[in-house]
Amino acid sequence: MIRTLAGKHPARLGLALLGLGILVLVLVPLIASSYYVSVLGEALAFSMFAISLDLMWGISGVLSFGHAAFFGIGAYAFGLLTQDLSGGTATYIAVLAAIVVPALFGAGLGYFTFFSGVSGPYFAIITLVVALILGQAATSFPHFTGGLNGLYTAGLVFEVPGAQIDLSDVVTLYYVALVLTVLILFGAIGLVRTPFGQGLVAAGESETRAASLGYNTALLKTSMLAVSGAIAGLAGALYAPMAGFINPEVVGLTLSTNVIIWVALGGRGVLVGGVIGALIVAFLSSYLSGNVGHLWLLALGVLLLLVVLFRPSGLLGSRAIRRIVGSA
Amino acid sequence: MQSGELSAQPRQSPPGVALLEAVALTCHFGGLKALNGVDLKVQSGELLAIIGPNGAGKSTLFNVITGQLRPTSGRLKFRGRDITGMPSHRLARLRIGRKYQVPTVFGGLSVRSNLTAAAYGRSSFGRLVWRPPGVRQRVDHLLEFLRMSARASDAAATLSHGEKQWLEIGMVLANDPELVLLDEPTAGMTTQETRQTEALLKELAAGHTVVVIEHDIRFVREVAQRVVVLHRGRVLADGTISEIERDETVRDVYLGRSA
Repeated sequence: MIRTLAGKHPARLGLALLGLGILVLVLVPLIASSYYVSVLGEALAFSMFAISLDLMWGISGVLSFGHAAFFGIGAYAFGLLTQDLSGGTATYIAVLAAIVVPALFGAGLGYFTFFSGVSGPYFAIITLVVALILGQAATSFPHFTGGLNGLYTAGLVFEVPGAQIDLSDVVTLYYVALVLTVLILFGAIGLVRTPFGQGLVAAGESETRAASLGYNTALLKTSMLAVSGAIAGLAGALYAPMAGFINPEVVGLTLSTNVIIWVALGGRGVLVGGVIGALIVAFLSSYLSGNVGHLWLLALGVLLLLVVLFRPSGLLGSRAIRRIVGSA
Repeated sequence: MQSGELSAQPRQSPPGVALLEAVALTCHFGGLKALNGVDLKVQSGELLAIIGPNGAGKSTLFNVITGQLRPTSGRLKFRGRDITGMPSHRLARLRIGRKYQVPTVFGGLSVRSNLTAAAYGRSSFGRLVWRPPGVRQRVDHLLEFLRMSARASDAAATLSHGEKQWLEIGMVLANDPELVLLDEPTAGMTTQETRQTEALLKELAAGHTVVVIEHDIRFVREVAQRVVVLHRGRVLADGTISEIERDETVRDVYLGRSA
């Protein structure tokens, strides 16, 4: 069905489905309880995070096994800068820092890895270690980061010209998350369609071949890691006021693994796939854990197993859907 | 300006300087001397064929010229400039292009995207994000030239072996190098496909300097102006095809056995 429709008007069908999905998300706060709005809001922050991972793993062919490092740096940059200064300009600076600091961190990490020829599993291991070190650092300096108790990030007000955005209001925060996620999604799709993005897709398939066409693959991958870090950091800054507090878990291994699961589930290399994966897992975890307790983890495990066995490129990973979604 | 992005801009080499020059080029893998002092000059505009038995060092020579391997010793010059040990992408930016022996198109990208990616390969970083105009038409022309317009949006992985070879030659054209290295462009092709490839190569040779590795002597006779025979990592003979075919040593090590 989808295949034949996609054959005729692939881009139009993809946009229509995407528009429908966004419309449903816009209407959710009108019908759902505030509990589900907060669950979905958090899932949107995680969706942005999943997009950032897919830009590296799905598009550029480089798996980061410690991507929470960027998410966590963003969350901590936001949390630390909003600690003592309240509202107004401070929140601007905090958001800016949550984007710029992880971007610079990504650029630095890329410089020391990609330019030295580190790739594949070695890059995955290095990022894993980076996330572990940062998680340990967040624990080990309690005066600075609040240690295991974490930082309190609730009750913030974001001032824009002529209005105040109350970041403690669940619905407001939800819409902020929705707008940002949609912007990031379309921005990322646009980026993948540029020659820069296509060069990275090419390098992901064969680095040697891309280099022999003139692509400086180390530079391209480093730039993409900076972009990916910026998006992950913004997602972390968005997550902080939603959760109300941040602790070393936002920078550690569990979140790094979760984001890989979201992308693998939804479809690697199809940017919207990570969004779908994050939403499905959020829904499962909140709905099922209410009904079947910890068995939901088992359900998630079984689902992931089925996807990996029968749709190895993820739920949206088929070529036909990849085309209607429009990336790669 | 815009068309200059992709079309050939032949730069003048200083008079008397070869386009590519290898001086005592050596490449050892442990005890194996894959290249053992190769001296070779390639003049601008010529079509040179390299032949030789398996293991003679032909592909190693290409790998060294395109930066996939570092030579153990010896020098490599392009337009008189020392390029020994430069990384692949910089050599490509100097306009040294290559077609691999096994077709290495990007299978997950469409046919059109493969050509577009090749066309942008040497662009500066800024131009990769702000795509310059003119590329699309150029890719359209190439699709027509390759007779692949109907397959433009198919994934390159779905092409036949021959089509992949042509697409890769198309990618070399889109990338527009000055020196083109072709590694066995007719390997695994039917007679008819080989004919079509000859036509493509003649087109390629019209605007480029071409060095081609080929086993098919009939093909070499058809296209090459000059033939270099490699044997055990050294240049055994260098001349026109009739000179090479008359050469006693060459007959012994190569032609005699395979012809």
